[in-house]
Amino acid sequence: MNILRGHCSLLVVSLALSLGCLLSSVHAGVLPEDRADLMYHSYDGGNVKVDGPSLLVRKKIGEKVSIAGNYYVDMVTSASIDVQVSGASEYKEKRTQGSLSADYLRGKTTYNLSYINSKEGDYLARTATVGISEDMFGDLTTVSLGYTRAKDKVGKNVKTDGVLGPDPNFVKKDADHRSYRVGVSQILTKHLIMGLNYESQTNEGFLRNPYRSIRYLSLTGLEQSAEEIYPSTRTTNAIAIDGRYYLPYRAAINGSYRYFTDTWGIAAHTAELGYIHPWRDWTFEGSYRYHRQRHADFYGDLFPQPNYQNFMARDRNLSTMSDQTAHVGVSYDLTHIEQWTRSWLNKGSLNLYFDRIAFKYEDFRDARLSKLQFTSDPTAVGAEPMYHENANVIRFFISAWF
Amino acid sequence: MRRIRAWTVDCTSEADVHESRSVFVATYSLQPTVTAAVLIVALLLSGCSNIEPWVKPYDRAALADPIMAGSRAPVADEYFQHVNEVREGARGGTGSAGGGCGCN
Repeated sequence: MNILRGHCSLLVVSLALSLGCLLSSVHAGVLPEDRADLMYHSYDGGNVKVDGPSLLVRKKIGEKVSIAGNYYVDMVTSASIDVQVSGASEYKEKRTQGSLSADYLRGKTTYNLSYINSKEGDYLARTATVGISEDMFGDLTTVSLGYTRAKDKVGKNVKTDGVLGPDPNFVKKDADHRSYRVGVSQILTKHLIMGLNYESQTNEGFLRNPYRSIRYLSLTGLEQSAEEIYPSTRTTNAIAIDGRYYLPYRAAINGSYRYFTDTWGIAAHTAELGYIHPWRDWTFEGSYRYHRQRHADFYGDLFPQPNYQNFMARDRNLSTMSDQTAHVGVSYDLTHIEQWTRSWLNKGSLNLYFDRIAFKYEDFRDARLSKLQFTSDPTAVGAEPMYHENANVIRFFISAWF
Repeated sequence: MRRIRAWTVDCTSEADVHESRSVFVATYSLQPTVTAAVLIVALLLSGCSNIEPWVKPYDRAALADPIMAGSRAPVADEYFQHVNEVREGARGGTGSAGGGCGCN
């Protein structure tokens, strides 16, 4: 189960795609370096705490093949607003994920295959990715194509006599995901490189969260809840442009913009600007990211009646919202590690990143504030203030090249 | 009245000259943007495809600097991409398209 016990199928395929990129993050014509990264990650916000380790090891076999493996764990403790409003108590669970990837280099072309398996108490996801990258025009241009297929099995757990187990009234559901990617990376000057990426995803099957409900007003004016109803298909399109520029002194700025739209009616803009500055054995970085989206057509905070529309959702990720992220990071190069390890390691680094994210929702109300168990002065249902929350994200990791 | 534009194509062989004429005839009556796109594609597909890199390998020192890498720490960057996708309704389009810096 992911951070918010929600949006499961879409999130799993997203993570799979992300990790697919991670495992295949190669420069065409060049195999990636042999390296290992051990990271502790932590997300803390909105009464949700997720932390755990991630280990990535990449190693060449001969001159043409590179393999990589990643082991990742999420330890979740959640009492998010969704959990609280549903009347459930805080829950804990664990998600583990293992990934394997292989890259094969032939001339200026790199072929990639990867497989990812994610498992948690109520969700199983299996993902396969194939990709190809080609350097051309004097290595100034790299063109990449990728295809990902994921199959999920969605379950639902309930607590019976204090013990968490499968819900006997819920038959496990399937979800099927496909992703198609094409990208171009282009050197424009000796100080500027830019990229253009397009990705389309199709999702089919059980796409909602079995735990989340909509709320509606009964004839007596009381708040009631009912199961969400989602479409069984979704197609998304995202196009992104990014650039990185080397400044006249040893530092770099980078920027990106993405436009996203889907068949559910969501349209989103995401922009980011960053700066990186090395100083002796240290590297400092900072960035600012802004995201804004329009809600899905079938999203509603409070519906007039239970069967008001054919599709109904109250997932705040589908609402009209924005978030801002301030990022700072520092890395320290272990310049003497080659001597310390008698040349077993070539180089290493210690890294600490901190991010502060502020989420602001424009049509998702804090439904706790109309309930007596959360406040002594409840407001009317539908008149609660809009919800907002902040989160702190920490990444501490050790990298070693060998 | 549509203007006839003159295009200069830097070709040397007979085949290249033939290709450049074809481009001219085919494009002068099209809209400028389409014309430019057709010209570029035609150039890429023609005998002129032996494009000289305008950033020479020896001029790529800055691009090869680790601070110019698209992702200096893949495990950390992909984790944060996951965080964003968990908390937002949008996803995709941020996958690495490769470096293309010819830094080796």
